[in-house]
Amino acid sequence: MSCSPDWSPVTAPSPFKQSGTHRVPNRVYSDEALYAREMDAFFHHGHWCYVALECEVPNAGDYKATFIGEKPVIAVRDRDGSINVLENRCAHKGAKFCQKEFGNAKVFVCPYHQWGYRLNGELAGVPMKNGVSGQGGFDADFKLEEHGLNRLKVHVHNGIVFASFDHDVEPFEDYVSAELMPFFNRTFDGRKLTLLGYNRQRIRGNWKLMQENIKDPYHPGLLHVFFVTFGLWRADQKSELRIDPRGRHAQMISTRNSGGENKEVTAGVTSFKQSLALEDPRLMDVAVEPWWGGPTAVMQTIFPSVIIQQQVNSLSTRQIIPQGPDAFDFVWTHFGFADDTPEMTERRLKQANLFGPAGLVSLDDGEVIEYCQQATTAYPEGECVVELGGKDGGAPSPHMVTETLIRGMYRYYRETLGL
Amino acid sequence: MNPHALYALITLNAQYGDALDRFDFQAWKALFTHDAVYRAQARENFDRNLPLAAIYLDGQAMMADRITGIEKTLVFAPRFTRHIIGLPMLVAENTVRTPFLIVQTIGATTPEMLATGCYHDTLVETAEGLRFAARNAVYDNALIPNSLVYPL
Repeated sequence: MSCSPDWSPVTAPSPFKQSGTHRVPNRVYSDEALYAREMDAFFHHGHWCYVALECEVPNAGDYKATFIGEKPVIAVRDRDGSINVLENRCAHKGAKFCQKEFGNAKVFVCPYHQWGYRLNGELAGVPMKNGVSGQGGFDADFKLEEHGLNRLKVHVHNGIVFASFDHDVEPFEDYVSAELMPFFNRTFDGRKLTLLGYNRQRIRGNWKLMQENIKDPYHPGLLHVFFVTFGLWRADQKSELRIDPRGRHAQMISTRNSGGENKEVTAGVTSFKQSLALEDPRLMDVAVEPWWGGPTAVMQTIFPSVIIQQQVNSLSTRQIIPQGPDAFDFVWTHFGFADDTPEMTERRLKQANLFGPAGLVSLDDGEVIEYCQQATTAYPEGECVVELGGKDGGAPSPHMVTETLIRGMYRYYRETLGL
Repeated sequence: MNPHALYALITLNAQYGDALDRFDFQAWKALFTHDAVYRAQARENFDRNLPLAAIYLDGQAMMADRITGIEKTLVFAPRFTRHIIGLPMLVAENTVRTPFLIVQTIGATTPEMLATGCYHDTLVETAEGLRFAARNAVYDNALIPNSLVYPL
């Protein structure tokens, strides 16, 4: 298939009013034409997008229906143990033939005219191919092998599955970058994962705002009063920011301090509530795990489609499924490891109270993303100021008092879209 | 089920919805036993025996922490909820399923469906009256319209 984007970079004037990315035009969050270009350039061409965890489809024939950008796809475990990612689109009439989100199949059969496909996407057979009683049917030159399901390029990396519509996309480890692979491999080091379950929410904001949220270490100590008060995230904690050379992916790596008040980071922070204490400490009963190697939280943004969370004992992937310029679905898949004790599983489930649509921390993020969407849409000529830590275009940092990771993402954005 | 027990059960559910919709979370918490478990769980997890819940509160102290979150730390746009709780279906002694529909209204916008599903309850008779020993609000709509602030 073609891998060149089908838009031209010179068709629209850039909404950016100056060079650099320390100012981001409000229009990037609501413009329909820009959104169409983003879907094409980021999700549907040239990038590895998150699809699944292997533990979601453990047995031959197990499948998961999901999306890359706005395009429906299916991840299915083949008989040889490999995972195929196929377009969820019948080659005949274009029906989204698989309507169940999870299941097990020997073959995929489109219900409309019963075209049947093997688990690798090959068309196995079509009804009435040779006609009925000598009448009708397909021409003699109709070849089943020319009408299979479109098959994506797949990379399974120690239990996490990415796919790309581009068969000549760069190798996955190059895509993530040498800078970020060590911490990527820290979570996905080959241990068998176990699936704990899902949370899903529709956030009425532009999909990029969620990437920005997890590239923004400025906000957690201010917005998330729960985090601040109980010592889970503070501006004075030991931390490091990593970013790939192109600016698209990032990691926020930090080690929590013991809580309480540090005047420099809490003075003037109206959200700090010194007097609060948990009535049930089991809500945050943190147990240090040997594989952490120190850091208590590593938040990874793998552009454009996923965030990978380790916040103490809570682990999840957070998939971004855009729904037009002003909304996206956010799908949380919580997981643990096969050798977890029942106590560790219980801990992961209790700490999950901080995350997802009801999260004592994450709920704040979904809300403020909607607030950003509401006013940036109303004032499309305005621009956002992204100048904490300077005006660089995205660089690693030994501290968290910077918005450099967001500037990095928009450097990549401008370059890729030719803006 | 005898008529008195059914009356107590319907009253308990009426108190439950009323307490939440009036934001009286202490009254809500008081409808549970001390070590009761409250969950709000997507049906896709419940049906597949996946243990994750959006809200998982193990005992009244953890419920109190959730209440502190709602009242003191969480950031969210003001909203009303309205619990429409259906007729209880007695499944076994002290085990009940009851359908619900919860509508929310955020600011000066039109109401929207927040969740619909079924409470899976374990009940116990106490000196204070009938109480929840466990309530799992299993919601059919896996997709939540952004935020789940209050218990379902």
